Amino acid sequence: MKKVGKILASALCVATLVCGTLGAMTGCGSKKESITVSGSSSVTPIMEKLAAEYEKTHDIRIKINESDSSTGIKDVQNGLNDFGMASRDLTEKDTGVKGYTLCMDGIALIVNKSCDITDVSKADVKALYENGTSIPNSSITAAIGREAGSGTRKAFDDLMKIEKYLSGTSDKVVSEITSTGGVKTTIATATNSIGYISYGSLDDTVKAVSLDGVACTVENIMNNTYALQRPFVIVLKENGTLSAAAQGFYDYIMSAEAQTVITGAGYISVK
Amino acid sequence: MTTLTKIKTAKFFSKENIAKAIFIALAAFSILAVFTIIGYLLYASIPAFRDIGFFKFIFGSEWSAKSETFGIWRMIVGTFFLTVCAVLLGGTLAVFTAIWLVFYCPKRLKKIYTQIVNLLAGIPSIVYGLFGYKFLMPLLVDIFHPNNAGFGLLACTLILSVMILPTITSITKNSLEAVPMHYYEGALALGCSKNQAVWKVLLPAAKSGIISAIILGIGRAIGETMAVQMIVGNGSGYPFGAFVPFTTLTSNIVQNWGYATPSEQSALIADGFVLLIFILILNLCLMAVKKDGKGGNKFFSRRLRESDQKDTLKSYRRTGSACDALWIVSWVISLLVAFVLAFIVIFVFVKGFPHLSIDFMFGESGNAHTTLAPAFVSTTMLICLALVLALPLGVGAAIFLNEYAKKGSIFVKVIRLFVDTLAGIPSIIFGLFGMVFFVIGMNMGYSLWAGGITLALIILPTIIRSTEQSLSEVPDSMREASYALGAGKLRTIFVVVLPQAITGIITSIILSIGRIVNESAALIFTVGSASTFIPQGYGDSAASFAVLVWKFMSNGLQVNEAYATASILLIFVIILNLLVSLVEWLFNRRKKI
Repeated sequence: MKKVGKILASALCVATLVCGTLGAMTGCGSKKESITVSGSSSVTPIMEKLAAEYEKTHDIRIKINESDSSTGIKDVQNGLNDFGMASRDLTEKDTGVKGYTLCMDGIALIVNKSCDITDVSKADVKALYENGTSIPNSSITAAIGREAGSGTRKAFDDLMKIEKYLSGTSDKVVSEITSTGGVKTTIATATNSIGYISYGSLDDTVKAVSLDGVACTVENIMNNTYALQRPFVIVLKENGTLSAAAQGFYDYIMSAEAQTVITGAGYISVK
Repeated sequence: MTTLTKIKTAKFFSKENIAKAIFIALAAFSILAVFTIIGYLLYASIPAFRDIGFFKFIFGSEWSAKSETFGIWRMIVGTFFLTVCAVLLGGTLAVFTAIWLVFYCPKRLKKIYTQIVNLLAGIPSIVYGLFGYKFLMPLLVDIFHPNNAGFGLLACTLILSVMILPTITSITKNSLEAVPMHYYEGALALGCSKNQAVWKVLLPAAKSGIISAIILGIGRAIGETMAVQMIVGNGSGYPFGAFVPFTTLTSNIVQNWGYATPSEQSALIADGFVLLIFILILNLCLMAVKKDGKGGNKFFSRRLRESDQKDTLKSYRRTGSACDALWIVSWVISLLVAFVLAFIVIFVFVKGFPHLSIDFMFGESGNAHTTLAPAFVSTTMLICLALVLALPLGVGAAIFLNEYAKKGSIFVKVIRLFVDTLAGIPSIIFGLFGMVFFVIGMNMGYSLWAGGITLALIILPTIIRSTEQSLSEVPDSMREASYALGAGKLRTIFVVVLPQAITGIITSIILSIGRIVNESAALIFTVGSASTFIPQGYGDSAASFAVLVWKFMSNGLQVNEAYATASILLIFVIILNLLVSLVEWLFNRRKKI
């Protein structure tokens, strides 16, 4: 019985310790005001940068829930966040919400760094996604896409006029990945695949290829020569008002000061 | 009211009776839970069945939100193929491993090897996914040069067979150990070599146990979500080649839930419901097999004809070398399994440890710099809430099953059936249920409340079984002595029986913590993946460690952090495994004294 007592006592000690730590940790975070932003995984990186900047000067916590455009809009409709992020224009289906463009973003076609290919044609890309035709004179044999709800995919499919991804029983069936980062990590190791991601998320782990001879650069996106581009939209409730805290953050991200952060991160300012 | 009725009512409402009623209610909770899950998922998927049409939904091969056509035939085929392949490979490996472990393993290694199998079972599915995605897929591409990044059936089969191996191994091991020793001795006495006795006598004798192990393995394979979702490719293909990106019933849910419109959501719940039905059918099969197993062993109750004897004699002589070959195979396979485990753990540690810093673990977390501090808090909070809810329920149910219920009564059988069913439900189904019932239905939102309650349901069967097991090990003489000293039933249970069974309860707590730490699919659907801030209360959304690995992975920018978090997860798992052994060791030592 003594041992039982000992075990019980030690279990109790552990429990108290855990609860104590928990209490302390919960307690020390002072009750800051908080706002919630949710939506597109493409917009999330820039929103995180903006939030980090804003938190430096304001005593506030900004929670960013990363999902996708449609969820961001749905959350606004259901009142689950302060405002939403979408990486596509709102459609007539999105009722009860209004959108303000934060900035423009290009969609970069990316391949593995070891690939020789530097340029692809629109028709080749379309044929690869729709029929699995390998891109001529290159090692690219497979395409990687995003899941059906993704704003990036919607913009990409619309701009490239792709009807339906290849299905069937070949190993060229388009793989669908649920996030910008996932596409990038996959391409970073796969030498035979092409994918598409937000231009702002582009880094040196992968290589961007030009489309029909036009490189994906800020200038080409701004003067509309690069075809693959879409807006980043902040979604608000149509008839609602923002809380004071949310309004403050909203004003900040739409300000000229924030635009320098945006352009610094590789997105294209519209102001 | 007469005095007599008063006394009667007083007796009826005595402490003992009330307690009994409470224990019955606690035990019946599992039944309620299973029915609620089935009923609510059915209710939520009715719109899909109604709008799409049952047959069109099952046999339709297109899933497209654009045209609002939802058919899951592709996913059913995908799940079926993947399960068959994984169980063929994983089952074979597991049975060989179990045989080696029971009959050939050197005594000193036995405990260590059992730990290895347990550890393999404890590795979170998200870590398997990470390993498959970052290591296995590129390796397969290097070897086979497929036309894509390595997604598809081959990678999935390899990962999944390692994941179901521990389940099958440990149950096969139990049933092999349960084969009476005199079978072995008898075989040796008749002139069999050790290898012949093992492969031709003991293995067939454990047949029904092995079949139930395989069925459980099938259940595990069908329900596996996160690891599969990461490496299956989620394309709209059929898995008739090693590298076709296809979709399974589970990966479809994770892939599409985030942005689903109401009609698609309903279709996804229906997808989950179909999965649940498969699992329930498997459970019934399991019950049938178990029943069959009781009536002795068919292999040995078969009457031998005289001509049989001659043939058998011949075949024994002939198969001598085959059995020896199998003996070698079992050595090779079990070494391979140990090697795979070591490799996964070392791979994650090597990739993760360089990125583990005090700052990354405990530093202040913000949008500019995400650390693990919020995950420590949220995981602890989830563990606390789930245990607070599930422990009384589980221990109460176990007390009823062992102390109150008549042995072998129908009610007990029904409860056991439902506890087993609850244990067999895959976590993605719990996640869907938690999502529609707590998050949306009860308006909790993505919160630790919803996650904790869902987790309580997940760990309930573990607690019931483990506690019941240790209650049944308490000798009856202790109860009798307690009654003889004048203690009531309730007093006996709490003062005499429960303290004796404390090891079982502590073990069940540790196992439950392991399960919670490992859980990702159910939590993504109930707690969400907010990871930047320390949760302020149970109303907040906050990612646990496993969910954080998933988030870091899908962020892409933070693969190193994903490895670092995964290595912390693995450390947890190893510590918990050691704790279980420690508790058992303490208990055994006490028994000896």
